[in-house]
Amino acid sequence: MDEDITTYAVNYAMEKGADYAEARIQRDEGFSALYREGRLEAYLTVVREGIGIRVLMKGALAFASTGDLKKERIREVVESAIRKASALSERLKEGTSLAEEPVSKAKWRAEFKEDPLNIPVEERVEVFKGIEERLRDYVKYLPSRVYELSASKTSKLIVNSEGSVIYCERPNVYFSYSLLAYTPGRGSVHRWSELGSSKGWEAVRGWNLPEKLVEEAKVMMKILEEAKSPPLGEEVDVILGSEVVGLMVHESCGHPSEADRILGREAAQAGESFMKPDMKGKRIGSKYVTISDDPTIPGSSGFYLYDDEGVKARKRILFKEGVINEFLHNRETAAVFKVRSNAAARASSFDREPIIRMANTYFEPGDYSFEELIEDIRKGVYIKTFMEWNIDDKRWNQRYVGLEAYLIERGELKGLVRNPALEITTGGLYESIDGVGRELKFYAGICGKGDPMQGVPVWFGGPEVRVRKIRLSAST
Amino acid sequence: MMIKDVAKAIVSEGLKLGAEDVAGIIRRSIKKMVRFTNNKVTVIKEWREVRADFYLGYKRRVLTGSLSKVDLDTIRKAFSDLSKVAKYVTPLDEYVSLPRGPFEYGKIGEAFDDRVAKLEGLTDYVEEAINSALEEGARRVAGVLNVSVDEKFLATSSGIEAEDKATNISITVRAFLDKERSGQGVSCSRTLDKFDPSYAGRRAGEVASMCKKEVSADPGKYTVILDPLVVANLMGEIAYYGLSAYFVDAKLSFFTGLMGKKIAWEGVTLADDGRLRNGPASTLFDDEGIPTRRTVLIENGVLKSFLHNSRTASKFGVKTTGNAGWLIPRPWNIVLEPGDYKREELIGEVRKGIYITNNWYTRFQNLREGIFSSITRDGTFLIEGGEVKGMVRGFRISDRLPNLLLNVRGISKERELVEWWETIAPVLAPTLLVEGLNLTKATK
Repeated sequence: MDEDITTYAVNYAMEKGADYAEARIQRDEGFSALYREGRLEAYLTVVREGIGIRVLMKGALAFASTGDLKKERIREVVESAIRKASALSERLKEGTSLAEEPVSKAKWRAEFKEDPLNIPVEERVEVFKGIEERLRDYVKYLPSRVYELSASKTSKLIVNSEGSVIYCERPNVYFSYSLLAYTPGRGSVHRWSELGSSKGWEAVRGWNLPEKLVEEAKVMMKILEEAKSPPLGEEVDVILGSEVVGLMVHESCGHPSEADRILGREAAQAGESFMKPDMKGKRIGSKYVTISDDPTIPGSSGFYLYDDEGVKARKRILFKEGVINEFLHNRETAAVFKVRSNAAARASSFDREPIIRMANTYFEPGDYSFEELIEDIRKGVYIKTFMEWNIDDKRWNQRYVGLEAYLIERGELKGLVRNPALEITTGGLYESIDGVGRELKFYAGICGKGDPMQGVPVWFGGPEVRVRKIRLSAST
Repeated sequence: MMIKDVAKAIVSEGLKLGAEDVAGIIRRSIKKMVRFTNNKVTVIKEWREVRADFYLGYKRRVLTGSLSKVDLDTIRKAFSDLSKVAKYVTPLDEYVSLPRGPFEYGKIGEAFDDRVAKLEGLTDYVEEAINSALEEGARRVAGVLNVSVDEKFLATSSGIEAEDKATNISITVRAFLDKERSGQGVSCSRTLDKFDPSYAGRRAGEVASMCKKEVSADPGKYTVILDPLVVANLMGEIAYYGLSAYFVDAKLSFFTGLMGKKIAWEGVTLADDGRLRNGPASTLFDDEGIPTRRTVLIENGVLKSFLHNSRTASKFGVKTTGNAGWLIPRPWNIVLEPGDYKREELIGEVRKGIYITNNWYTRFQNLREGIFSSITRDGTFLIEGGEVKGMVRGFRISDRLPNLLLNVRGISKERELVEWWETIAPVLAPTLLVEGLNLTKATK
């Protein structure tokens, strides 16, 4: 990547009067293959490369980008950003500033064994064939089977006017599947899920997709054949499986901890937060609730060692033993809160500005085995996986509808129950947790935020957790 | 290279590779955005982008690509990579050649406005919207203003060379009394004359101000009034996941097997219109070069058509509707035909019900059966005896989309053009009265 061009952009912005400038060249290259019911239906190749430039001038922030890396075009883009910032600065009563951070000069890369873009095409296609072969006995019950496999490599060079220079490389591998099971007279069950990693092709091999999907198919068939109504209209205890816990902490702890939401910066799009700036130190849940976000987990989808503002990444403890402990910051919000950035700035591509994002958010494990979690439950439901979910724009009112879910009676797991809906407030949920499993598992997703939309790879996870005295409702 | 030359180069390079069908679309755009929060602008952004998308039909196989660098070397490298992939892609039984042109494309009214293309002083429009919301009683206002100028050029190996250009300007305004009480308004247009930031601000402020009094209501089945913002979100889901032939073919659509059947109340007529005057997504041609058109999808409650490209049309034994997407047909502008009522009259019809002005986060438990939920956002109100009684909190629509369509009982005559962060496609949306919609709330 051309450090000269990036430095040129920064220097030119400073020459034109910027107080701060930052330029990021980013290249994303990859493929995506769509496979449907035995056929590789379409193959997409993608290359995106360009430069994004951010300038701060008298408190006014402007961002501009171009896919054309010629000097004359970069001059135009810088001048445009400067013009906009300059015009805006005249109207601002109170401007933006950035928290001071050390100058960083670093190169980092996500370690991988097998470059996913150098894997022979035949082997890429074998992933699908292996799944279909293994699902052969179930295909007649699975009328709709859609899989997507994609892999990409991202390289970035970030230079800012304070002297930071960060270069990084990381791969991203991703697989999603949609399975629809149907049997006459019993309706259908739909499962959609995804896997991801910043490792190379070895991650795809490690997923053992044929076995994973055949297990999914078996469970879906059992749901159709056996699942009964969940207990409704009474308080029961609920064990949330790792997959549900992962999504729950992402949605109702990670997102509301984003300081830009807390300040109202996403109000008209992804929404705000139930948290207010002065809520750090306030209790939000029981002592069992500790939730962290850590970008430095090797192999994770949210992996990075320096963020897109050049700040060194570290683990963030968002809720600590039930108390709000730390918000997610970039340099802009850190300045408002008079703290240091904790390196949460990420941009999904060259033409997007860095904004506050999660990386890998998870519920810290406790010390219960699964058997210990359920042993004193008189009546309850274990929600292992989910399909439908949503949450309000303050991240207070959430819903998860179970897919694979079991009745618990007198400390024992019983038969499957169909579509139990957990609809609960964030406070109601976290204050009702009184037991946490010891086995931490992660799941992958693409988190959407920003305007224009920025999808970034993340992990989320946790162990199984026990939630007491919950009234479940039925899905439609 | 000019964008025309790049598109033509894609076709000639693709043919050299041995592809029998080649299409290249080059899109060049300048987009500007002003975001504002707490009554002030927080960031201004500008993008200049050239993107090349291409389609190769290679021995009945489908290969596609997307490049942000559009020089000949990058194109050749991408094609060379794809040539190695081709033999592993499955030849499709339903494969059809790209449609043979040329076609006459005519014109679309109010598609390009030079004043929008040259617009400066975007923050003036933002201030106009903020002030309108504040005048209605809002205390803080947030939102986004978008302006774009887009050109595209399509060349295909089947004799099509076509170009189109567009301007768009839109604003989303969210007004707050406090954290819990808010309203939203939008305005979107292809031309400056029909762009109304004051309206967006006023509507956002008005809904927020309606939240002053709070009342309580239990979850359950209700007659609901759905404002155009809600209708736009849900009709987008219906048009894409329900009516795109791709999802029907994948047996994931909740309308699979229902062609010609009654799927909605008889007052419901839903169309896709690629040539809607002033429609944000209006365009002269689809990705295959087929002239766009108006397609009635649901007529008086009966399912009449899905959205097609040439390949899905061939598989379904019908003609393309001009909605390509090389892989997935998609809607342009969704149009729900108006009814006879004013919004106030619809509200006046409701003995006890809930009035929902906005929603987001529509997610499916089972796409095939259309089982979904979507959470209310901004002002949601209890109606009793035909009057709005006060704001209610925490409601979620938890039902089946097919039920919703069948249970419509009233449609307003006024419609709004809606496109914002939470819509799949722009929708010309009226207000709806729907009976017996299931609404749920948190239990703890």
